[in-house]
Amino acid sequence: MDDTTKKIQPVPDGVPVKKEKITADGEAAKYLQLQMNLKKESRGADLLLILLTLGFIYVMAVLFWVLPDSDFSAQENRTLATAPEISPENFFSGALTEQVSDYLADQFPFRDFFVGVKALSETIQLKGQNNGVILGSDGYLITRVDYPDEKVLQTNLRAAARFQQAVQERGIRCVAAFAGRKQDTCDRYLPAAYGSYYSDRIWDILDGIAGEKKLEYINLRDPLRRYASDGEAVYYKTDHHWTSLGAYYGYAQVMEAMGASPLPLDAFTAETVSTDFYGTTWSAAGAKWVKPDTVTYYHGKDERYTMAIEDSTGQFEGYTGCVYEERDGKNYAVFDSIYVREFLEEKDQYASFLGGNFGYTHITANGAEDRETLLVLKDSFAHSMAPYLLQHYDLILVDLRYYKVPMLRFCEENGIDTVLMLYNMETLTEGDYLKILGAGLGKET
Amino acid sequence: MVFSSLEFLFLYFAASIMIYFIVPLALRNLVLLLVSLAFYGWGEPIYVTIMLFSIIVDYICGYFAGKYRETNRKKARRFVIASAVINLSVLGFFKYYTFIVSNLQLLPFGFLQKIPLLADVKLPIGISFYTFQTMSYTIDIYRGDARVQRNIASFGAYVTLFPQLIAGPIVRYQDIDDQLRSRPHNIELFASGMRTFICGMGKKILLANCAGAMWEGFQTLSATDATVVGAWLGILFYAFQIYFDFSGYSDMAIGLGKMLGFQFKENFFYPYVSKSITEFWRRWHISMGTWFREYVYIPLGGNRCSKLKNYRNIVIVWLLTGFWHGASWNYVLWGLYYCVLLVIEKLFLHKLLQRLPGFISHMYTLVVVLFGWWLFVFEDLSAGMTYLGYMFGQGVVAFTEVGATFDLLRCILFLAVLCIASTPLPKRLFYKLYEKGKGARVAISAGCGALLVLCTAYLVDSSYNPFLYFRF
Repeated sequence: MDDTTKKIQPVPDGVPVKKEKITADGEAAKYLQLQMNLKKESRGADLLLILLTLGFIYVMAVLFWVLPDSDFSAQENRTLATAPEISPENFFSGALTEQVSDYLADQFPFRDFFVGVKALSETIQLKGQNNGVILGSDGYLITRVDYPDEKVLQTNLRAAARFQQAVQERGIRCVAAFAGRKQDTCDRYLPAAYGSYYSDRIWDILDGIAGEKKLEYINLRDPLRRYASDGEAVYYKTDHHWTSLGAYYGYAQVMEAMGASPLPLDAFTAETVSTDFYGTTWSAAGAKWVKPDTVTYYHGKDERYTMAIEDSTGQFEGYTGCVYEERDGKNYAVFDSIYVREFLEEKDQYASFLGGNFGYTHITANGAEDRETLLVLKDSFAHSMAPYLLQHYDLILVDLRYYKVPMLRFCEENGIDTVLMLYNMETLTEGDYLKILGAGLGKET
Repeated sequence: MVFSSLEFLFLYFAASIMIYFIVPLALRNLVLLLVSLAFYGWGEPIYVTIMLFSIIVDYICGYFAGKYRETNRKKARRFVIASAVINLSVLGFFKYYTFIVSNLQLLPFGFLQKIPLLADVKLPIGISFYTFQTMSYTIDIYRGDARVQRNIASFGAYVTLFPQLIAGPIVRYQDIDDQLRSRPHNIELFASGMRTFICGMGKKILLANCAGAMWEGFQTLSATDATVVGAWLGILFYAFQIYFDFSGYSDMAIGLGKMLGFQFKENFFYPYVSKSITEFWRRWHISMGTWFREYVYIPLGGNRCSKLKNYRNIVIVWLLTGFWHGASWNYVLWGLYYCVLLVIEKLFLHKLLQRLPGFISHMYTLVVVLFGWWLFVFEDLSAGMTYLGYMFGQGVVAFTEVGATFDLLRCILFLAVLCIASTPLPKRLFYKLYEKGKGARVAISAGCGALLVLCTAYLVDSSYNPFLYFRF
């Protein structure tokens, strides 16, 4: 340490002093003096400051105690923390501290308003991104992932390839179709500086792995990307899913790949069921000023279906057209439609397609005989494609995240002739959900 | 509990400030002690006993050091030594035990391997700050720089004083000795404190946390995505994060102090405008520098001894400064790094820097400080070396990539704000405005209110509220 640091106003030897140096405390004292000198004139402003700040703090504190807690945030699609249990063990373990912190954050008065204020502030600072969501042009909110997990992708594709080969050996047709994330498909709405670089990269990797593992797949990203760049609304602006229109284009590609001809779009009747859909990316981005999406159902001819969802929770009890039935010791929610319109009144309107995410869903056309059953191994992107596929097939939809049975045996037991693996890039890179497909299928070829 | 949290603002602060101003003056130190203990005990329900222990030790040692300092110098000295030994042992055990043992075990002696590591003893929050403060009390008494505080509630209030408890500034007893006995409580001071507090909160939440979120993204750069631009951008954001985090927190402490009638010394003085490292360390974490100077450097002889001893003293102080920041080799290296630079500046560079154009000496300082932060942030030296490699194009995928370029472009305004906020300009403009007239001051009050709402919004939005100075 230099000896000059010892003195408050150090002047190194031999250097002419330009002006008197001021210290931190000197400056602070000067400014405090200034405020004290002006204390009579600034009494009003001081009182206003105290009133505003303490007023805000106390009003919020009181509201926090007075307002009832909510258990669930639709905005965020998650359960909120509720009042923690106060006990000595809880306190001394340090758990209570964290629980109170979560409780306060989750139940804070006007929580959504504050989230919006933060998003607005970030936008004003031109940060172009909030909570990992890029504020794209034309109101498109696009989740940004630079480097999705390649190892997970590898695991999933390897299992998918093994499964595809195994079922094909048994004479079952197996088509894989991979859709892009919004980032992959709707890059025309991304800032030019970001563009499609990372998307192209991960799709090249996917292509490489598929080639190496001899996985045959249909790329749904490229065709949908063309539609998107022509300005067609193939993905929701505020949600991570594709729209019914996007799903239709996906369906057309899948049908052609299976050697069948897709029905033209005008064979379906469009019904706008909602004009106020705020989806998942909107929740994450907190961009309250973005306009909501429209949800459209495309109805085919003679659309009378029975949809059975394996569900032990009984959450659809009392829904229109839903009865619970027990078959082989399992509970099924049986609907007379593939749309659960109750969800249109809620936040997550996309769940009105097939009632949301479940492990096992079986949809059959009423009164139709001898329809082929298509097994769809899928994520939620398949839900809005189902209406089109149902024009040709009965459907069994399996979500491997929740339904873990050996699928090869499942195909044989259910007399499946065709399997469609329909996934979007997010599911393929986010967790090794498909790994189970390769289990018990012997060594890699 | 940290100040920049919802529970602090809307539960703790709301309750304690009310109690503090309701009770009569005579009881305020006791209230301060109790609410401060609650503040600390909330985060450290068990380790609060260590703090109480430290309070009792120095209350007793200080008492006897004061009693004997006139009559029996030797006896008084013993109490100072007892205080230092006890406090440093507590600090040593909780902060450095595992580090020391694990390093000793690198030596090839069998018996060393049998020493338990006690790796699950965690560091009590703020222990580095309050042990230094309690020690300073006994030493100040011994030196005659302060009077004995017979009221244990007042002494306890000094040690536990919640504004500066967990992250400083390190308040020396002699600086608030008088204030503990009587201090002003009035509207002007409260309002002034509130302004300082909110300004500090803005620095912490709007600047430090956001810069930290950016750094977090770059910190994990790996062989697949490392770029030169990304690595530099990352360390730059870290430099801003640590400054605004720490100085924002100090401002909040000073502001809270003012509301309660205390005047703490400033802890930062625009360190990033420095034109030499010597100057930087006069402007960075001033209370810590002062502490080491007053209680280590000068007692060792300072510079009033032979040249050789003077350099020895400098080395000791900087080794300790580095080690105080954390029980890891990188902090020691960080201390030595500055030690070497300061000695070089003392020898000739400082004089040279003063003759060079300001721009060049400023750039030199910033670059040196940036590498200092690189040393500081990587406890894992090999991870640090890898990151350093990225900064110089070693092991990167490209000079820059879409992600890094995009982040740079979208953060340009934010970076400009960070740069300007590091200079004295905002404060100067603020006081220019403040002097302007009543209307301007009303506008400032409204602005502070709005800033508080904005900070609340950021806190509500995000659980992202890491606090860098928790390891101390």
